[in-house]
Amino acid sequence: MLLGTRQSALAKQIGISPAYLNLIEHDRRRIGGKLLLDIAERLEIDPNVLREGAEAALVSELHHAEADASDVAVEHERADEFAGRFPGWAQLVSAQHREIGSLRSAVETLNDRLSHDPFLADAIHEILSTVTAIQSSASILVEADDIEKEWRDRFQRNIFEDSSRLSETSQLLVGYLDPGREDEFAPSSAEEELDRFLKSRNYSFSELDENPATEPAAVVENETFHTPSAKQAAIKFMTQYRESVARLSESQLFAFEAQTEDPSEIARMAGVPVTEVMMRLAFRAPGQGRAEFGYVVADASGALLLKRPITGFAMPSLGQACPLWPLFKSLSRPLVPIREPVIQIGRDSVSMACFAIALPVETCGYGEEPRYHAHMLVKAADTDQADPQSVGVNCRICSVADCQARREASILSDGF
Amino acid sequence: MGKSVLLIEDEPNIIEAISYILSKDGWRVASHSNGATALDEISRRAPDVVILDVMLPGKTGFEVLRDLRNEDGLAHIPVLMLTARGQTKDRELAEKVGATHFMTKPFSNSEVLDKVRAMVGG
Repeated sequence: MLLGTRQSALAKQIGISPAYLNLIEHDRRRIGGKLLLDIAERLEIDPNVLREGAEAALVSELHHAEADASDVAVEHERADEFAGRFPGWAQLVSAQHREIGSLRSAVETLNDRLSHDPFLADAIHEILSTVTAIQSSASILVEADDIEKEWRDRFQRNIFEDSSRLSETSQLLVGYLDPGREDEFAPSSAEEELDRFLKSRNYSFSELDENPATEPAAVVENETFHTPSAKQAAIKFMTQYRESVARLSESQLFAFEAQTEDPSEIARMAGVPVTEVMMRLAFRAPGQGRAEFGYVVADASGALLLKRPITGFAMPSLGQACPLWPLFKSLSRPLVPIREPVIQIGRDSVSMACFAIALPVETCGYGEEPRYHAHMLVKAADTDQADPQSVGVNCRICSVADCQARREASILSDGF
Repeated sequence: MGKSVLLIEDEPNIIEAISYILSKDGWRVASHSNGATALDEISRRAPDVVILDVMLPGKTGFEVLRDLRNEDGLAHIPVLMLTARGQTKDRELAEKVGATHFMTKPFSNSEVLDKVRAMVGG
């Protein structure tokens, strides 16, 4: 939130609901005219700053849409102009791009379901077997003129039995495929939904910071989740957060942070795991003197399990990230804390400081292989850092021509 | 002709229809419905042709066929594989484990006759 103003207080001052203000803040609602001027006045900033913030987010969405439609040649360098001159159309492109993303993952889910669903496989096998029996029996009746009465009766009875079975199986199948059925068929993947939820909360849970006794289930009570697993993931995340606040309060964390910016050092002083410090710094409520942190967790396959992007360090909404992130370096050197300056190539490149470490997810028994998760905290560098490593978001929207780590062609032929 | 066929299939009405067709054509037909004991049955009867369904209780038709092809004295028996899934993958797998012919359900009676006759060279 801008300038640390409490969202609810601001909403009250300008006379709209906090929920509506939240939507505006995350560019889900267009804002203009008097409302924009009111907010700018309350926050004591230039209205253009608010407009530009919204526009930068929109332009970034447009670039993502461009990345996913590689066979269409768009005027890449004029995205700003498009968003500025036709904000409504640009919003439409961005909304449709998001929609396509969710539809795509819904189709993938359905595809998986069709090819791996044991009920469907059984039902189809049953139907084909029954049809085979009916066809064989029926053609005997039709083709054989000299068939004895006893056999004729038997095949007729078999056909009758098989056709009843067939109609039963078909009805079961229709019931199973009935689109009205409520279950895990989801408009989007659970990961995406968790992302969306965290973003809508502005990556903070002030109620948990203030009172660790708050029930996570109560926090998500009014949220709509399409996938039960996304809701479970959100509750699990908040439960971890809440338990951590009970061990180390927000004010204690802030006091340690005043002494060092190294999360390992804070962890040592506070007596908690370093990954807990990372999570807390990234998801605390914004406030006076509290720096903003990005945070990302990946498993050994490189899948991003938790994403908290910040200005200066964007993260891909779908698919794989840039392999040059220190996050992935930590997986080849487990347990070793890595501190590395990076600069993410893009329109607003600023030098960022990254802290990464890969740690086992659980305690291992004899003969078991440890499973690692890589964690990385990102913040804007306080001072100019020597030799920052250039990294991207992902290959498709990366302009670096001679990158050894590239695994996919970029859609940006001429760079930014 | 008097040649023998062993039909390994768990769908009773398919057994009845195929048995009728083949008997009319002069074959001696026996049937068996369990994958786990199918190899013993083949060994006991030593038929001229085996018709083998893929989806069987106890053991899949592919497993039965693989065992058969590794069994001295039985490996040469021609096998007609039946499957309810006409996927290329199933066909490839059937050929790999040594099926002589392959037939997708639903099939016609004349198709069964033609293939079985062809497998004993007559």
